[in-house]
Amino acid sequence: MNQTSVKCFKGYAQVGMRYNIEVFYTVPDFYHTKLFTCLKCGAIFCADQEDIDYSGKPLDVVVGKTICPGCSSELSESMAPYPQLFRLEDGTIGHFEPTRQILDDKVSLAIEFWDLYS
Amino acid sequence: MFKRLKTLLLPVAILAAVFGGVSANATTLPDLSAGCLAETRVGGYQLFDATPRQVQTAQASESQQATAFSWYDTASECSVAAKNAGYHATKPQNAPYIMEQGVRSSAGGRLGEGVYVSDTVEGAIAEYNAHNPGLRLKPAIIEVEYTPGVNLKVTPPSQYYEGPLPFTQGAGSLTAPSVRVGGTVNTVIRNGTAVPVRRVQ
Repeated sequence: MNQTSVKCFKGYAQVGMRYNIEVFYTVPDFYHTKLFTCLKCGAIFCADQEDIDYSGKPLDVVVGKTICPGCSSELSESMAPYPQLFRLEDGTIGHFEPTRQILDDKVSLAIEFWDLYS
Repeated sequence: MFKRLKTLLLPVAILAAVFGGVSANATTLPDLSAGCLAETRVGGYQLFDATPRQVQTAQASESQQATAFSWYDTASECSVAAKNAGYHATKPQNAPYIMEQGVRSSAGGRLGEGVYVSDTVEGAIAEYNAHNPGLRLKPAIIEVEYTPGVNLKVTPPSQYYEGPLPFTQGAGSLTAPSVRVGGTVNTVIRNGTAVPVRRVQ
C-alpha cells in the first residue's frame, strides 16, 4: 500500500480533559476523498470516491482484503470513519465531527495517508 | 369651505403621492415570478420554483442581493438549452470504467449533489489538481454531454456550509464561477442526463 497526498483541513478535537488534539478532515468539493482509521493503531487511510465508484472494486471488497500496515490487523475488523473516530497514542478513542463548511484552498493542507486503492 | 376642503385633501394628496411613489418603485424591481423563477420564502429560506422555457433572464436588484440569503438571490438567470458539454478530469485508470459504465452523481459538494463538470479542459484539470495535490499522473479528461434543463447561474460565497441547497427545486443543473480558474465555470448536473461521450486526453 502506498501513501497519497490528500487535500484536507485541520480541526481540533477534545477528548476528556485534553484539548487541541489535531485531526484532519476532508470536504466534498467537486471531488471527495474519504478518510478512515485503524482503531487498533491509529493509522489513517484514504479512499477517493472516484476510485470507489469507478475502479470496479467496491470499498468493502478492498477493505476485506487489506491488512493494516501499522499493526497488521485486518482492516475489515478495525477500520472506522476518520475523524469521526480516532485513536490517541494511549489507546483512548476520540470523536470529532468535522464542520461542513467549505473553506478556502489557502488554508488547506496536503497530508499523506495510506491509499486503500494504491 | 374651500380652505377646509384644502386642509383635508392636502394630506390625502401627500399620502397618495408617497404610496404612489413606493408602488412605482416596487414595479421597477425584477419580477422573478414573471420570468423563469417563481420565488417564495418558507421558514426563512428562499425557494425557487423553476419553470422551463427557452431563454429568460431576470437580474436581481441590489436590494435583493443584500439580503441574508444573498447568494441564493443571485440565482438570477436560467435557460434551457438542447444539449451542452462539459469536462471532467479523473485518474487515467478510472477513465475506461467511466466510458463504459457512465458517470455517477457525487453525494455532495459546493453545488450540492450531482455530476460535476467544468466548461473547459483547463478548468477540469485545475479542479483535479486542487483535489489531488500529490498526484503526478496527468489526468484523463472525459467529455460529458448533458441536457441542462433549467440551468441556474449562482454565485456561492467563498465559504459556506456544504449541504442540501434550498433553491434547486426544478433546476436540472446549476452553474457557478470556478474558484480556481478565472473565466471558467463549473456545472453540477442534477437531472441524470450526464453521459460520457469521449475521452479528450
